[in-house]
Amino acid sequence: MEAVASENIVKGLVEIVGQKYVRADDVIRWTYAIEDFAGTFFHPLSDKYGPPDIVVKPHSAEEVSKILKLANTHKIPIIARGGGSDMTGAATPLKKKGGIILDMTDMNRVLDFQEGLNAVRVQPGIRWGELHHELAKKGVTAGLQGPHGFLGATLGGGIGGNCFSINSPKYGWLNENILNLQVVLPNGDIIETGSLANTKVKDWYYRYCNGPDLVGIFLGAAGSFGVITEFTLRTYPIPEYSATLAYSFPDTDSEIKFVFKLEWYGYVTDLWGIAFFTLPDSLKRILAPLVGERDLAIFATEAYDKDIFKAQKKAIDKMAKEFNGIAIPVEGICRALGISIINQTEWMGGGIFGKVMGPNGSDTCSIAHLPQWQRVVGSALEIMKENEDALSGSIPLIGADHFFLFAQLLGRGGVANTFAMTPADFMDPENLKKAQDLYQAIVESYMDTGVTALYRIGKESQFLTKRFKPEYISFMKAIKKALDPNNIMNPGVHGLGLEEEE
Amino acid sequence: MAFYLLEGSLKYSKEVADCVYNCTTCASCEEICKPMSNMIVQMGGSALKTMLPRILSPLGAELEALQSVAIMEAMRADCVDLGLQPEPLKKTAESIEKNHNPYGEPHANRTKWAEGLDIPETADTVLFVGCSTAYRRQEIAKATVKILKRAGIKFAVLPDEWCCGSILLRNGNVDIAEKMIEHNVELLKEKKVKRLVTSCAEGYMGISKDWPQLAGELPFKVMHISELLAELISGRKIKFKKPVNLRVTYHDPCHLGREMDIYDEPRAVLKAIPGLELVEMYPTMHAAWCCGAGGGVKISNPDLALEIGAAKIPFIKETGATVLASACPFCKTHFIDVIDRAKEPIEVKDITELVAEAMGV
Repeated sequence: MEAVASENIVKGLVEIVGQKYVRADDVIRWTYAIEDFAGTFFHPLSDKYGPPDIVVKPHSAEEVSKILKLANTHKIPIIARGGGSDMTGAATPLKKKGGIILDMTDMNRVLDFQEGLNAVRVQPGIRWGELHHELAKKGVTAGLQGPHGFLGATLGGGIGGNCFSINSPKYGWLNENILNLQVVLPNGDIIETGSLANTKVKDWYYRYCNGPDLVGIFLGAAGSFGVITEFTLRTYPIPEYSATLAYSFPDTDSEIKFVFKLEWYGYVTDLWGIAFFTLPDSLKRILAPLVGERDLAIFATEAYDKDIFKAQKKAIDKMAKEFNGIAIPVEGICRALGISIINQTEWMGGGIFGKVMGPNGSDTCSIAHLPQWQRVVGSALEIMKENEDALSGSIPLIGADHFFLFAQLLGRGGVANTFAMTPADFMDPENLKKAQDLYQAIVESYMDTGVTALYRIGKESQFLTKRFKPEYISFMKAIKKALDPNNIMNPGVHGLGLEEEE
Repeated sequence: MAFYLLEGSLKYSKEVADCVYNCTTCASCEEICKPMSNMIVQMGGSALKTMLPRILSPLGAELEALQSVAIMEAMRADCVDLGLQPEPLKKTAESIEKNHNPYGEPHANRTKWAEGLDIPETADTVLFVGCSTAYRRQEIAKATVKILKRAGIKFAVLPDEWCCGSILLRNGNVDIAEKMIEHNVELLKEKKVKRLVTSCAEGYMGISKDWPQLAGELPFKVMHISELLAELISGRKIKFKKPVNLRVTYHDPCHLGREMDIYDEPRAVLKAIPGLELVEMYPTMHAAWCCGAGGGVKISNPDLALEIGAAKIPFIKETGATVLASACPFCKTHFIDVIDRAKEPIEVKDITELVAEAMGV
């Protein structure tokens, strides 16, 4: 940005939000030039990304509206940002574009909760920990416990990045729980969706009414169509009965069939699995004497009624036996040790994957349809084995150079994680390049299977744009052009907003 | 920021220094970025704590969190070398070098609070009072002395105790910290001390973590007063005579909790006091919010420190407690300032004061 323009824009922003909430000095700019969680830097960190020109903290939709109008006048990119752990560049400017980062973390209030509403109205900067605390006071839960940033992550970031969450197998992904939005459009207009489109409606939140569902296009859009300034989230009663169960299975195929059916019947709240064939030797040596060379499924189940809970556990056991599952008695141990895979609200949380991946690693933000999971990770595993040298920067939890978590069940309909790490030493350009190439190769291999998708794309859209059907791209571009003719909203996200360079 | 400083995109400047010195070194960032193994330990409690490292260490697995605070302190040391340390902290360091305390008070006044208390200068156990307690929170020192005497503990207070150096290391003044630590370690060795007890959370962390790094293995055991009190209570060496009918919530000092993993002992002490009702505030323990004073912020940016502290007031009020208890003199001082400014009817007390009250000493 030209110095004079920058000065005028800073002046304009100060008039909108006040001096305290506008920063354009190097130290602040550079701290927003990276995405990070658990000490694991954004993997494709490269020359492509750079610092914003200005960072601004709004406190209301009206302020956001004025900022967007100002940005439109000067044709400056706007990037809305929450906790900054997107990992695909959605919260970081492109170096050649720069722009203004809207740090949304001060818009963090619970706005409305009424008994019997079964929903809560919040601002996007609220963090999961704060939300849990507020909902617990009302005796309800969001069901979901939070994404990889756990309690410190903002919900707004999760909406923009299509986040899954602990407990998504039961409650769905975050965006499946969104009812209404308040959005500031690129031109500064403030709109509300669904039932709230009617000026007479103040506090009744329903999504599918008053015409087409306009909520969807803003979810997972990483702020490319507008800035979400309020939203309504479903709430649930807190289940009184829950347990952590585990079963081993003779092979991955049996385990997958069990997990698929478990989720289909609605018995699972969250699930982590281990596929023996993907494990490094060090972990195989530990697990084999304990449970044999078998796959493991560790999961939580819950219910609201004692009798139903007992019957549910019995049904799960019967189902596991159908697939030659052997129960592993973890329930008592978990209770004694105070561990539950679904109750993670007591600790600050976050970064559970950090050291699993090793420093500077990245996961691939990809999902697969569970029955095809073996095929998807099998090809990636081959690539990783062939390139072990490139992974030498890793100090992962299990002391090995690669690591797969079997199909953490991520959502309803048999959606499973296809997690792969590609660690790198950022101070060693050669090592970094190798790791980046490997990351690209793995994602390419995933995408070529035809049963994988990237749930988060950010500005790493190169894997998708060449595979998107042309009509789909045209449709997305048409929406973008209609809403954001000056391409100011997070240019580069999903490959949009860079038309002038094509 | 550290990454870009290393990589060269960002250069040290006054702005960088201002930002680096606005960190309270509360270690919340380390908590957020704990590796999974640490999380499991934390979730599982003592059984897993013993078990897990044994399983993981042959695998070369890591239990250490990302050392964000150490990185921050290293950047501060760079700022000191480059002359970028904020002026108030420079003055603090100068005061410590000259007076051996950060408050600009004469060293001779260090044990003024102990006049008439008849405390020996030699014993196997030494009460390392610390600057904040000695010069600003003498009530904690007096309560501690009364408790220890009544419990039959033979202990000494050393008039030539110097600043523990912790605040200097937090702020990047490594050279002066080394002098302080060297003096204290030599003094304690000379006195053939077997056990050091302190009621200061920052001092406890500095002595436990920093001293061995700079002065080698310590020939004495280091205890925080909350550990000793919990031990004395469970060993029935402390007898309570009157109920303290108060609803109390406990603030976890960052340097005692996240840095030293002491969460249970202060709570055990408070729960043992008859009549006292301990109510947890949110967020608590590992997730507790800092008081705002640490890492030199109260000195270099007092308004920010007060703002951070004020953010805790709604959580304190939510518990319905009338007393905020802590186990750190610096947290206490700061919360008194925060609560005074907010004009809230909340009293701030150290756990030693509540114990002394219940003992009737």
